[in-house]
Amino acid sequence: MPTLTDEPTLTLLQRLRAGDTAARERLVARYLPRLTRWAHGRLPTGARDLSDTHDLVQVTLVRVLSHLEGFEHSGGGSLLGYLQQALLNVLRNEIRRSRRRGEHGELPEELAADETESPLAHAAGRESLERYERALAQLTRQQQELIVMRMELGLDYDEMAGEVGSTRDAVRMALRRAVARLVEVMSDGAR
Amino acid sequence: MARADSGPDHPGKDGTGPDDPDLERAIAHLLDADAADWSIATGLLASRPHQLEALRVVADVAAGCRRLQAAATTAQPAPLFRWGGLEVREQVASGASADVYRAYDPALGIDVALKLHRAAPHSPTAARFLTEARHLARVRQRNVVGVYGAALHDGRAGLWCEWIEGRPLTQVLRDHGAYAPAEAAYVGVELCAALSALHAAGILHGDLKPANVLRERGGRIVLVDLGAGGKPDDVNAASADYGTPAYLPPEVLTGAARRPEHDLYALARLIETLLAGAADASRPAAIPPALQRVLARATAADADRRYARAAEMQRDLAAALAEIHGVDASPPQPARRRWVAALALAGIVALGVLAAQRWTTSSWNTELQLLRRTDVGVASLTSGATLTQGDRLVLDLSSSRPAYAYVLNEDAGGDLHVLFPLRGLDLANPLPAKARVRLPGSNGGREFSWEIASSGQREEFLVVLASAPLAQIQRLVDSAALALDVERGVGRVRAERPGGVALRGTHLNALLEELGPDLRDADRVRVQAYRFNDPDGASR
Repeated sequence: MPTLTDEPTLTLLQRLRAGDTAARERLVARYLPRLTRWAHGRLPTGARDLSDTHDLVQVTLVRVLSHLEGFEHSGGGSLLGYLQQALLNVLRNEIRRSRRRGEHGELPEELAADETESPLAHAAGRESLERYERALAQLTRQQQELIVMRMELGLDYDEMAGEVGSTRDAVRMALRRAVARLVEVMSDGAR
Repeated sequence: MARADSGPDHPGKDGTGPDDPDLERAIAHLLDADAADWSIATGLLASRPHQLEALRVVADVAAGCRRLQAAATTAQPAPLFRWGGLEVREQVASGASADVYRAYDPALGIDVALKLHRAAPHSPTAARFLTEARHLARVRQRNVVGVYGAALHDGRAGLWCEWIEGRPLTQVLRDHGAYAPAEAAYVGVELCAALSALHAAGILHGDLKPANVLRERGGRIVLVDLGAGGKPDDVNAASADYGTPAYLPPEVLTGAARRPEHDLYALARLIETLLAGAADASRPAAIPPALQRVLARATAADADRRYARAAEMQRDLAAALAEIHGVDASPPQPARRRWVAALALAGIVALGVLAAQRWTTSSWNTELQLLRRTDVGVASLTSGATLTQGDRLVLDLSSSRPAYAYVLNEDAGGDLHVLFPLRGLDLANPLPAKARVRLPGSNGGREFSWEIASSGQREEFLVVLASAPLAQIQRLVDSAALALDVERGVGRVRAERPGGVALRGTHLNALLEELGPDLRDADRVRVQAYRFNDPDGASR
């Protein structure tokens, strides 16, 4: 799997905007594995398997990267954050659709794994996940992106620095502050 | 530096970040997944339970994401067999009534632990197994292993639950010896939370002991193997004497019915085992009074005097932990790795072995030596010596006048850690004159040592001795994360030729540069550096 630091995102982005479709493929290849696992973790287990999710993410990435008018790197956001947001909107539709379908297993209800719950809700606990997401939504866009990159997508500091166009130490400090803010928002809500 | 001032390109310089050193320090621990140390975070945030709880929720989500990202990247071997929708990969344990496997759940995209019951599918024991599993599936608490489901497939009753990457406490004890009081109290707090959740669901664990508690990589304490537990009536009907005698209250041994609060008695015995280092070892003398009181009450001969509820015992243990943290904030849980020593001296002279370094001037004599702790004492290190897994390091130091010592560590990933001074240990700056001291120090009669942690490529240590406090370093000490309780990969290593070795860590070099003017005066500041290399590592 190519690491995120192979070639600067900004360079690929400039090439893409200049009409270089190979740059788009590089970007898709770069983000696809991580975003596929991320998306699969967030879809209800009954909705799509991993290869299905892979297709969904790939189509979404190609579509978004073909129409980048809405994204401005100098606006402070990162391309990865932008893609992740676009994907999140697609996932929300998927989740709504799979809930309408409903899920019925053969096992008695309390014995069957709940197929309307996502793997991430299984792994982290639904309540924890909801609390985290409510608080995350109250942070600045940049803070959200840093937290998602590190906590949800598993980027290391060097990769994050490449994505936001900063230094390793700077993103580490910024992330630390963003998490402190997140914890404050969450604990204010708990009081 | 581990906590560098933000530069002009700081992406988060938006003024919304809180200025809260304790919270940020706790977060620094959390963010390095390998080094998350909840004992330290719990101590730092002892007076702020809401923040601690929120931090735990964030950690749960991050751990969940990590598990999902990791599971999909690992190449899977062909399954041994399939059971329901699970692909069974390997057998990991075999008990009296069940086999435990590691299996892959394609729907969840993660590994799970699968426990398959051996009894005939329609036997009463298989029915009971499924009933218990159904109860357990309703308990969702971070310190209780998460049960995903239970079913009957191919004639075998089975239960699948989260796969935990970690070690049972019995193994931790074997590898690292007895727990410090703060560590043990912390495990107690976590297990009380687990028992509260079980008891609230009407379930008695019934066999709480170190073998049934896992310490997950990252520090989470998880209660597993609930095979002996269930509704008290069922447990009593099935086999009231099931359990481990050392952890059962005396009245149960003489026939009394099992009750949920008996788990609290077992927990106290478990904490005593952690403090003693083994089930058959005698209790150490130096247990802090607050913890001593909790243990005495939980194991009182008169059952009416004992804790009736887990929440009550948890509250008292948390109070004991906070009291201990007043003097002991840094219980090290050692990391293990195999390294070869190579030596470097910065700013002074190069020597070929890690012999004692003596510097003598008319006004200041110092001597220091890096040593390896062994079962029987300490042994000197020579260049090229192999440090094997589980080795711990200490630094012996003597000075003719009071001295300020700082020990810093940087790994190949550029992470800087302060190894001395450490809060909570009895040794602090300035170190006394004319006495040999052993760093990092001790607490409650227990000697501490450093366990090297590395991403597997390079570790560098810088020892700085000064006749007065050094503001440049003190700033780091105040802000840097403690480098304890870290578990990372094991590196294959060989020695680097002694001499000509210079430090490569950017932070340590920046610090040396900053100290430059001071270093010119050997009567004020002295520096010694050590380097451990992984020859296979890319960063040489």
